[in-house]
Amino acid sequence: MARKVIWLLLLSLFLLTGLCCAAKGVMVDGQEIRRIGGWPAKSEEHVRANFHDDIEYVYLATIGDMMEALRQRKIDAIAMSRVFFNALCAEGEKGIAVLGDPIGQTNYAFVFAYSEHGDRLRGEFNAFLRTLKESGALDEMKGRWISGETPPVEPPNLSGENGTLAIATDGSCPPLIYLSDGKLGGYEAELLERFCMERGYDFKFTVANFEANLASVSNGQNDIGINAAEYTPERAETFRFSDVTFTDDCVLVVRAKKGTGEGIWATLKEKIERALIRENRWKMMLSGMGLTLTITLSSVILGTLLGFGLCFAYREGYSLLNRALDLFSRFLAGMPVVVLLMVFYYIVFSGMNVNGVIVSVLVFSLLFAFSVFGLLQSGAASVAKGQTEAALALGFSERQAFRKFVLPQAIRTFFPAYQTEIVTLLKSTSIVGYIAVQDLTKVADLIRARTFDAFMPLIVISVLYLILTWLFQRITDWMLTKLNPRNRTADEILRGVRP
Amino acid sequence: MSGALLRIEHLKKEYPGVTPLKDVNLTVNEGEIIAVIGSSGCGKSTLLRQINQMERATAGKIFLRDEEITAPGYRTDLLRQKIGMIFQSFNLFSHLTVVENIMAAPVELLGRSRQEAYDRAKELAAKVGLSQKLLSYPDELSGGQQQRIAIVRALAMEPEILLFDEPTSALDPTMVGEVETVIRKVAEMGVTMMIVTHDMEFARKISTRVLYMDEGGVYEDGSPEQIFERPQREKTRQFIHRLKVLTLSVESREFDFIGCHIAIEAFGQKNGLPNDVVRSLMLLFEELVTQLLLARLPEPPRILWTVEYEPKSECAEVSVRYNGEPFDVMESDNEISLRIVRGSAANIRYTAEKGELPNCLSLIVCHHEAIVDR
Repeated sequence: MARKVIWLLLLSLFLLTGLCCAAKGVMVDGQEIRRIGGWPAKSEEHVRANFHDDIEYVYLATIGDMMEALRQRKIDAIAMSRVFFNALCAEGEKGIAVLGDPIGQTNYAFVFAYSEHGDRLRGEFNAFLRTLKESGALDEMKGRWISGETPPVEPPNLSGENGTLAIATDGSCPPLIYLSDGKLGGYEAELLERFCMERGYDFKFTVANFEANLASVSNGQNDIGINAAEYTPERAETFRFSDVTFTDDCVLVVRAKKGTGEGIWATLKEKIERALIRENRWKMMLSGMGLTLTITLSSVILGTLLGFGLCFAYREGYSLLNRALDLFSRFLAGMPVVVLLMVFYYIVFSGMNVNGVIVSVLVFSLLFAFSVFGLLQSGAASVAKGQTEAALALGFSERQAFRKFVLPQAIRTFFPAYQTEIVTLLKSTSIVGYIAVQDLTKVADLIRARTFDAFMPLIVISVLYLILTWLFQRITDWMLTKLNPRNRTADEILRGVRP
Repeated sequence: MSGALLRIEHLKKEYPGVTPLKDVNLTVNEGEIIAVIGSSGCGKSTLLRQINQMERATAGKIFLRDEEITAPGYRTDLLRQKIGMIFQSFNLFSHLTVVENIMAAPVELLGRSRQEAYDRAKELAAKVGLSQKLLSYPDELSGGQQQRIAIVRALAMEPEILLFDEPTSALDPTMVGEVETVIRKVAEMGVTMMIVTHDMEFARKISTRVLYMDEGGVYEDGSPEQIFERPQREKTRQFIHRLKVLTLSVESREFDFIGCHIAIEAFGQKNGLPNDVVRSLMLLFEELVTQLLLARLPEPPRILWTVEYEPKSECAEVSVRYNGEPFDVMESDNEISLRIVRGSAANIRYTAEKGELPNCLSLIVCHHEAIVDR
């Protein structure tokens, strides 16, 4: 009886969730819309206000992702500001159209910290913004940027007599803010430059994703967040917004009724051109690849050294140290790497001006050291006990017995796992974008945001990651042949001896 | 003090739940070749591992040339450089060639030059007939060859004493000979040795002194002739002759008669006694105990029935001890039973002794093809 009731409850729960999740869909201008994609915050509010729960809202990180989802019919429409639609068209996107009337308005603003310093800076900026509005210069700027064009950037000459501002940006919302050949461009960038020129500041900027930027501004690592940040009252509780810098209609963007009719090769060629050639983006890819390689290689080297050190220290048998090591390794193993990375960057090194690359190397070295430590332990356990006994019986100390006889034999079981760990490390470095490091994955994100094409940059970095993996595999294979004592020649074995 | 190389005083080793060594006292003189024998688990290997401090004693002292090596803070690594050990499973370093196995310790620990160590390694390897294998890896050698190299590796440290822990137990029978030959050769070089072994023939031939270990200590200590031919103590004798012993005791007229029969049968099966011997033993038990003795003994009767079986001669020696006034059970008047007893056994002998069970009847039961030679 009780069982039947439980089954019935489960069944009704299942049906209910099904009912809740299956959005009914709405008709807009004769087109059926079930799923709408976009950023969280303002666009979502507009969609909810217009269509209530009749549609499903899908969160997507970049405009490129939204476009890819739209093309692949994973969503029926994108809710976005008209200026981004204009930018898509200006970039050469032909298969899209605006559907119906705007569904609301979105305000954009700069983000400051809730601190004395933040308040002062914000006051200065708001005052500057007012003069710009009064003089009509702001409207003139809007008029220029609203078209969606993203011209190459000419960096201004800034005196910096009153200091340098640290800017956090994701640089991926053209034409409001974008990266072009490593320089910051767009409506918001121009606003920033004008502000700096007027007040005698210079600025430097760090590129990281949106959430990480907001965090770095609120904890004081950066002065201003410039991210095409949408103003919402909820966000205003945590972050101090400037006055509105830009207001725009929020529209629904859908697939155009008719196909473009362009050949697949022409499209592909254009995609490659956009992903790699334009604005020397291949250079960005290469530098991202270089950074990924640097972080991985440094972490492998440092982590291996540290791992061996930990293993030797552990074998000395200080119970307190060993307990601490066990505890710490369990702590590390239980944390998602991305969380660990952010904890180190935003909490441990909070307020300190430490480069994200250094923090990444630090975190990954630590993680790698503890995997090496674990692998060495199990490798040593796989060596027959008699080997240690024989060494001890000859008069070697415990330490000598381990280093000279156990360790060289442990390498055989250690090494294959070690190789796997290296490849795992290489792949897990792809999250360093969270702490403002422009590695290969982050570069691809930036290019995707810039070109609104999710497809080609992903293909390119997949290939580049495969190349890196192959490279590490080859290096470690070579190391293994060098380390295998069986590969020594008779001369090497009998060095210093006349047979 | 004396010229003793090694002196062990009141050595005790305790593990949780078992105490293999209760009280060991031993003096080893220079040049002695000592075979240590005894049944499995009697603490032979444990004793060896105490000597080179691979395990620490629970109590007691060990002296090497009057220096106490069991003293706290004594450098065991330096001690072990002077004491060589050969293991049952060879334990050659599998990632190193034969020559590196031999050279490692002299170069690293004694500071010998590589050339010097190499020359010595080559010379020693030649002595055991393996100079062609210097650049081979251990897994390319047979078990016998590996053990020969292990002996050379220990010798290269010029130890004061060599400990062999069952050096041939892990070997294929065809390879035992070559290793034993090498050990004999080393013995001729005058190196002091202690050899734990199960191979009695080898122990007898090679040793100058034999230790039989039992009851947690050195049970009997003597020349090989004494231990193997004239063992002085009961358990040594049983061990040397590989005697199988069955003891039954009867303490009431209502004893478990069937249980005793089953015990004799099981004893026979377990130790491979010929069927006719088992049958005779059962018959003898019935006639002697139930028919003859229980009829005569005072209340309460006490009979101790012991069978010692020697597999080599296929003969079982039976001794029946019983209480009461001295009397020879073979002088009873139950002629039928007496005839059966006489027909099943030989060498029937009665002796009267002092003690709780003063009467003792001994007799021998043999397989019908075996010859009684005692």
